[in-house]
Amino acid sequence: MTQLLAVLLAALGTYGVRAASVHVTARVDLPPRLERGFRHAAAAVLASLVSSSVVEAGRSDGSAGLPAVLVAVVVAGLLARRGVGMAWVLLLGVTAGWAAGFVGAALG
Amino acid sequence: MDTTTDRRRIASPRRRGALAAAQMVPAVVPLGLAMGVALAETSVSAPVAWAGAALLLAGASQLAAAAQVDDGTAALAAAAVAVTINLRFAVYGAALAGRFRRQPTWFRWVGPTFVVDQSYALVSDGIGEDAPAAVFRRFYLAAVLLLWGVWQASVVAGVLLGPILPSAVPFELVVPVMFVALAVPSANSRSLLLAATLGAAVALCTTVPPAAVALVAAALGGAVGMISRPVQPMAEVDAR
Repeated sequence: MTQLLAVLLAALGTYGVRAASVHVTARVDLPPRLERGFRHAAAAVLASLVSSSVVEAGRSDGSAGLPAVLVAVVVAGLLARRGVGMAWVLLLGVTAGWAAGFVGAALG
Repeated sequence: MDTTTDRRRIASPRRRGALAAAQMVPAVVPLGLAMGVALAETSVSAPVAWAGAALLLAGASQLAAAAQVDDGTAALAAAAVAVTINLRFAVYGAALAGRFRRQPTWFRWVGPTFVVDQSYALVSDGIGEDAPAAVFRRFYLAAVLLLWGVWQASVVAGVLLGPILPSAVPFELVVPVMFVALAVPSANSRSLLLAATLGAAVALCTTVPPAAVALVAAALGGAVGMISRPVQPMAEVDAR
């Protein structure tokens, strides 16, 4: 019961965060400078999630290890930069990381 | 014949939205499965896991709330932890404000429910800021509803099938690769790239919790955006 209550409260609060930001900023004509600021802030948040997840994955007990995670991220980044479709970026990035982890385990 | 060709070439917004979201499915499924497996290790039942996946639509915060409750934290405090983790969605909401401004009231209330990392990246990369309101709405709803359904099914499958899922699936690789796939197309100008670089550096150079890292990154990225000139796509800049 406590778990369900926590989920419901968290969902309500999270919806509030999402909706409030949309409603507050959509009601007024924001200066272009501020709109640019929000777009750049969102790009910075997404990039911070990359770093956080790399650090987290490097610390995890999984079989890959930090070097394999870095290989996966670099391959995915290069493919994404070249405009390769997202599904291929995901597939090839994970495969490259998995292969690097396999080679690392075989050598080490 | 020309008309047929044109119809094939100019896909409907719904179709484009669904196709864009479908590209994300290879990441969402393992992520949802991993989340379900992790939730199964807490006291969360399958129906509550499903409710969380459907209503919260944010795996890390759902898992954090479940772990807090298992540690004896009150429901309200556990929910507060989850909401804190999700504060970054406010940044996405604000960045999408221009697109929501021209929408009907019902959509301005329903649409934000689905604002997450993936939906923001899909929209910012997949549909132009000057797209007509109806085109954006159809693209967005098709994309987020597909992701929403896949996420729910994956989380519940993870809860129910956790013990028999193969341990060789490299879950730890999927999350960073997915965020790279989201972040790189979003950084399509020099100032956006600078903001993204600062955001990534903040997360590497600080030891504050991830939720706070995202907010510090947002502040720095926002500052870059405010002092930069209007965004010019990288291709245009490079062509000069």
